[in-house]
Amino acid sequence: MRGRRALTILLILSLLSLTGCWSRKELNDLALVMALGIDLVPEGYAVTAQVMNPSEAGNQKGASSGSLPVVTYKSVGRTVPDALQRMLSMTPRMLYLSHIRVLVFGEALARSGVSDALDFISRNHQLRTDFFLLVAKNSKASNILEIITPFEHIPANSLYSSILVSHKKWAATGKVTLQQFITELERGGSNPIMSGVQLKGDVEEGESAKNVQGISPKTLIQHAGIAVFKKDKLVGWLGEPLSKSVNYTLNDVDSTVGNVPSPDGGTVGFIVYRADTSMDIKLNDQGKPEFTVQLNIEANLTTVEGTLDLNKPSSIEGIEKNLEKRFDDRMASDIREVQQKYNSDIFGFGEALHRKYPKLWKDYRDHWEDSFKTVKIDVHSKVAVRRIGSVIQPLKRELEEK
Amino acid sequence: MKSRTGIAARQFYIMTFGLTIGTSILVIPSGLAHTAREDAWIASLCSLMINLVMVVLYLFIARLHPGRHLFEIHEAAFGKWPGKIISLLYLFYFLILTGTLLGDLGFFMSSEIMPETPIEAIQIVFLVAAVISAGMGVVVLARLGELLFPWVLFLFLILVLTLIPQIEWNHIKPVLEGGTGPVFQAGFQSAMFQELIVMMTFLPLVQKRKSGEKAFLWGTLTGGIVLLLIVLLSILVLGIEQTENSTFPAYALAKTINIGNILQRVEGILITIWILTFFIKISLLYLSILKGIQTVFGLKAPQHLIYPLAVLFLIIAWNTYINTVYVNDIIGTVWGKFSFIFLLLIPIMIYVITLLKKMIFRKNT
Repeated sequence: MRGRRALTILLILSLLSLTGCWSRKELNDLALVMALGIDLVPEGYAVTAQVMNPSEAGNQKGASSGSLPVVTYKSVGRTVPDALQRMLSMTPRMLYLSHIRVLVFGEALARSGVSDALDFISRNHQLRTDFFLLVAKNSKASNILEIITPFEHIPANSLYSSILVSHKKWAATGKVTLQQFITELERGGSNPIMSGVQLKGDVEEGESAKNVQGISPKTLIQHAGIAVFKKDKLVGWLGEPLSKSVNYTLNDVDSTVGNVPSPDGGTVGFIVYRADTSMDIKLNDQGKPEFTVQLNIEANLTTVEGTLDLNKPSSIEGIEKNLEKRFDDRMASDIREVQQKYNSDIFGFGEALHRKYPKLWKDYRDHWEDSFKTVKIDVHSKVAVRRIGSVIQPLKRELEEK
Repeated sequence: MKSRTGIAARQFYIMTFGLTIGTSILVIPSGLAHTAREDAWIASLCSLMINLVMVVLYLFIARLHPGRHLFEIHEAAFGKWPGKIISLLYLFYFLILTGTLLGDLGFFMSSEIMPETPIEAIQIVFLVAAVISAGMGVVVLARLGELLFPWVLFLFLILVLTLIPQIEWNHIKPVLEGGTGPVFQAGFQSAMFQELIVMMTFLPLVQKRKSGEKAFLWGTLTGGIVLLLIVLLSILVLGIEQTENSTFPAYALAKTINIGNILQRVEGILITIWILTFFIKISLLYLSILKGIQTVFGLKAPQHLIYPLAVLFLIIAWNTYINTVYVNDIIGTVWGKFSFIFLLLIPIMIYVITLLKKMIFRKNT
């Protein structure tokens, strides 16, 4: 019995000295990659990694050796892992990919197809699926990752949070994760999108810390609307109004602002704070599907220019009617533009058809792209203006009344 | 205190539950989504029903042979020597099963969690635990099950609740696009992976027959519901495309958990559930094999076979689990039919033969 007890104690004590993992990686042996950029080069892929320098990133004030909180490495290889491996010849530490916030594709690569590059990204066990995918508009991915940004020490974090914020408040950017992209890509009745970024200003100037020392930084990273993909290839860009229409159709708008002519000839600014979209499908006489996008919007007034009489309910009704007309026309023409110009079903109308009429979908599945181009899509919106802010009558009206 | 050889119905229930979930939880959504597409969850429901039917069949057999365990039933039903041969076939089946389970564990751990640790190290460490558990016997395992069960339930609850915000109902539409054919086929295929026949080795150990039978059914039912929920969540959150194309869909599922950017990267929950139930499953198989060898060869105590068996498991694990693609191919094309022989075909034969024997016996007297 005593021997047993001694053995037990010995075993428990040995736990103290046996802590540790087989393949432990200490934080100071790792280079945390915050953003990854992939470009197409003749030899294969050029990979850019924005790596955090923890000792500098932790420094809030002073005591800095003057180096930047991030370092960007670039290397070239036949495949993405090749290039990453080759990067080790420059980095002092092992690259650790689990904390990537954004993955940027160069436009050239996006146009020639991203699926080969994405295969590594989804196959690698270190990479998770929660980061955002971006396309660098009119530039290489490496340029985007070489810019020092104000506010955030780490440019990748700056990109990440600006995607979140602008998506939530502006609604003209996409918030696309790897998981969404792959799902949209592999389905027969939908095509994926990505959010675009572009440089505003000069690359050279943006590369050094000087960029953030002035009060208005010379070079900034800016969102550039939505990139339309057809299968895994980039086919074109959507500007701000189009991108908003896409997000409305995808039921992906949290809040956004806009303006509309008011019934008396002035202009009314509004903020959408609730938008709910649903797709409805009906079959016409020839058994062809016709789509209706039903949009329910609740909005508040933000600014009223002109002399509209806001004491009358009919004024609000007039604004609502104008808004509805505006949404109906604008969205329908935007969707038609995507249909005709890019012929890519980024809205997932095909999937909606698949869900509602699985039997009919069998006829369309193999050539949905041809049918999508000519399919009839209507937009029907219902707008409710709820609040008008802290004052009732427009200031201009108050002035004129006196 | 309870007697040292018997197990309570509650413990039997927990072991059945563990056996149903172990390993299945990790891989099953993939195959179901491949065949049944959007209806994978219906297929899973179908598989649950098939499992229940099989358990009812086992229970009928157990009623015809009260107090006998699986291997004794073989000898009673088929006669001494043919029964022993059938028992040996079952032993072979269990042996391969244990080996593949061990291979599964090794491949999962080394491809998703600890890629730099040699696969052998993971398997050996795990096997050591199973060896200890086998040495202690089924009573200890049953008590351990009682300790682990609340944790498994608790973690599963967290997993389900944290995944709810990510549900996308469109993923499971349309319902029954391809008709019931693929659904039934997928359900049948996946019902061949819960190997509930193993519990027949332990059923006689339950003291009260009625409550033991109830525990068997309830364990199958709740275990099946857990699997159903995992399949349903995989489809609802990941969508069929990714469920189908993931090596370990449930793990991919757990990776997506993100609540307000605070609660995230908690896939450890799933790993814990899996490891715990996996441990129950492999220990049950181990004990079952020991019991089988004891019965077939008429040994007094099979205890000294524990270590040689462990080595055998390792060798099988290393030689059957060559790579993931090979195993997926075997599982998809061969394993379902192979399992079918042991899970359904032979039990039906046992049942029919025993009934016939009884009828003849009655006529003669």
